[in-house]
Amino acid sequence: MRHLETVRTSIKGLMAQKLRTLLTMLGIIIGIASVILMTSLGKGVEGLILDQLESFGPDAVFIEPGGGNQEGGPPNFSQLTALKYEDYQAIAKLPNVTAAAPIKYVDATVSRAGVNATPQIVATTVEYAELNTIAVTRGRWFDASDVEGALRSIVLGSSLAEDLFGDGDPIGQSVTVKRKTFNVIGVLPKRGVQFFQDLDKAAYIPISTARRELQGEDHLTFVMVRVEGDPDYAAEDIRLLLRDRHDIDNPEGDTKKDDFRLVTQEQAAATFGQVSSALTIFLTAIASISLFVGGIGIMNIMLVSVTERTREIGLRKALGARRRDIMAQFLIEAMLLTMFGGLIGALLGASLSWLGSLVIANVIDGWNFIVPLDAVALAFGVATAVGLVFGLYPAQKAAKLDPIEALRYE
Amino acid sequence: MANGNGGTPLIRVRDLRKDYVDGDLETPVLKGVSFGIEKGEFIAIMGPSGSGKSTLMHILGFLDHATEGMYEFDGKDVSRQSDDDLALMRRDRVGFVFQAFFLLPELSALDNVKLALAYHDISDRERDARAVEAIEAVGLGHRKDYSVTRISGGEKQRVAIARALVSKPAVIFADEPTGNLDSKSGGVVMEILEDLNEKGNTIILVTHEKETAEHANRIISMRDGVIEGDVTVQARKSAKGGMLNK
Repeated sequence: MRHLETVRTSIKGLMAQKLRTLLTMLGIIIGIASVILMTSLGKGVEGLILDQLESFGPDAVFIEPGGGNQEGGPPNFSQLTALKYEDYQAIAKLPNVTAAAPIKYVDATVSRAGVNATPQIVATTVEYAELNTIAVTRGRWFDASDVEGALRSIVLGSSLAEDLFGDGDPIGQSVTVKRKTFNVIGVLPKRGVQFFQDLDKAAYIPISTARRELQGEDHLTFVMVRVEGDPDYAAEDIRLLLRDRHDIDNPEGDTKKDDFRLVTQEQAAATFGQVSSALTIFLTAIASISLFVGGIGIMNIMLVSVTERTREIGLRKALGARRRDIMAQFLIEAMLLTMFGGLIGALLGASLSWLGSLVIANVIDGWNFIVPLDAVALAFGVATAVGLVFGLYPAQKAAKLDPIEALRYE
Repeated sequence: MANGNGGTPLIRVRDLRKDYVDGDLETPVLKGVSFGIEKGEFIAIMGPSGSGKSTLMHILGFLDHATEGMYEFDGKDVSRQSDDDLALMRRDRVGFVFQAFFLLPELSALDNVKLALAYHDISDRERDARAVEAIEAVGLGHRKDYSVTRISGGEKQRVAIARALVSKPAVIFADEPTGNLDSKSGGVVMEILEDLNEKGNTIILVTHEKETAEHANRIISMRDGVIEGDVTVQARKSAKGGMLNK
């Protein structure tokens, strides 16, 4: 076939100027590599978070303070204290709620013998361990007496325990929180990172203790419950209960009027899916800018090439090349550049993602290395299209050359 | 007149005109040229620069359109052909040898010859076979794999002749083929052209040198866009036989 001969000639031409070919492809290589890297990391984060969400089980429901537009808007800041401890108590009594845990984040320094740490202090109840499937292997989790008696008992995350006690055994030792002495009753096994929070740096105290000893206010950060039956149905029960308790007159059920929001595990996954695809689109848009710039680079070098090879074009026309033959030659060359650039870029992007996943896996458990094949195929297709689009003008310019003028060109 | 043998001439032009338009300025380059060329002739179109000989060759070689007049090639009117049709005529019916060789430096001698078959729908095997045959016909079989940057000027022009020959054209146009060569290499090139003519190829040579033109068996002299003389040389000057006739 004639075009096979053209492809061969083009490859020879490109190989003859390796450095220039490589520099020309660089924009495309970087563009494609970043598309692959971005989508790979995006898929990695998505997989991780969805796994974490799934670990709560499909029957988990989260109740957060703050209303506002719940179809993706931020919560109302003035309502961030709307969820009270008494709300939790009422929710826990609902018939389809099998377990409920209030969660309140407290900011305080934890210290021991001159060593200070500022962990996330999670004030909660006995049920927290059950809802998060935590099995304490050293010491124990709170029991009813800790919570009912508002005892100064504290459970440490694994790396917090290491920070404070080194290799020593923390169980039975004491630490100071806001000048009050707490008794370490347990150390959690390694839990890793959840929603970008290092759970191993956290400390856990009974919520009753927090209310009495550390902070007077009784609002909660969120409430986590496990329900029976249809989670949406149970969520609706909680919604009605809270509207009643908060005196929200909302017969039409407009969630914008609420001062709280309910998220089932399924909804959370769906919302997160939206966020991550928006993020992927955003990152891909940035990467496409580099592809565009790469395309301009291709066009530039192809224009130089057309000028340099004016006499060759004249000769080829004298030998019987039609306009479309010259056009095809330069388009094929531009597309070879971008396709080859795309190939190198895809390999580079995949290698970088792989290296990245090795590093991330050291920090975050459960990180998976994913190179989405559809992204690779898309990137390759886009690279080819870039070659076609940005090669078109130079190819046309070449095809239009007058053979006599072209042969006279010095 | 053409040394006709009664059949249809290969090339027939009547009142061929060409004007170059540059803005408002219209410069006539060919002012009505008429002649015929038979198959197997070796013609020299001679004249000083600006005489219109190159323009005439470009039109005859399908590289350019005439502004006015009739051009018949092999019995077919080709005066009003589209660009694509002209490209096909260049591909199938004519071959060019240029003063500056126009070889692609990144290719070997053989690949340069094959370039003339790049736009033919033939198999690789046939392309190879025909290119080898052509390069052997100009006596450069032993140089076929050489880069054209590593062969002499005379050899380069012989590669270019092989390239003009490989598509088995009806006419070979040679535009000042010895212009960039020393007299010895030029002599070899003219000898090859004569040889090709003796094997039946029609050759149209364009030159401003009387010496070179005398290798042809018919000389069309041009001046200022018109034919000034059309002489058939019975005993031409041969490169092979030295000075047979002067």
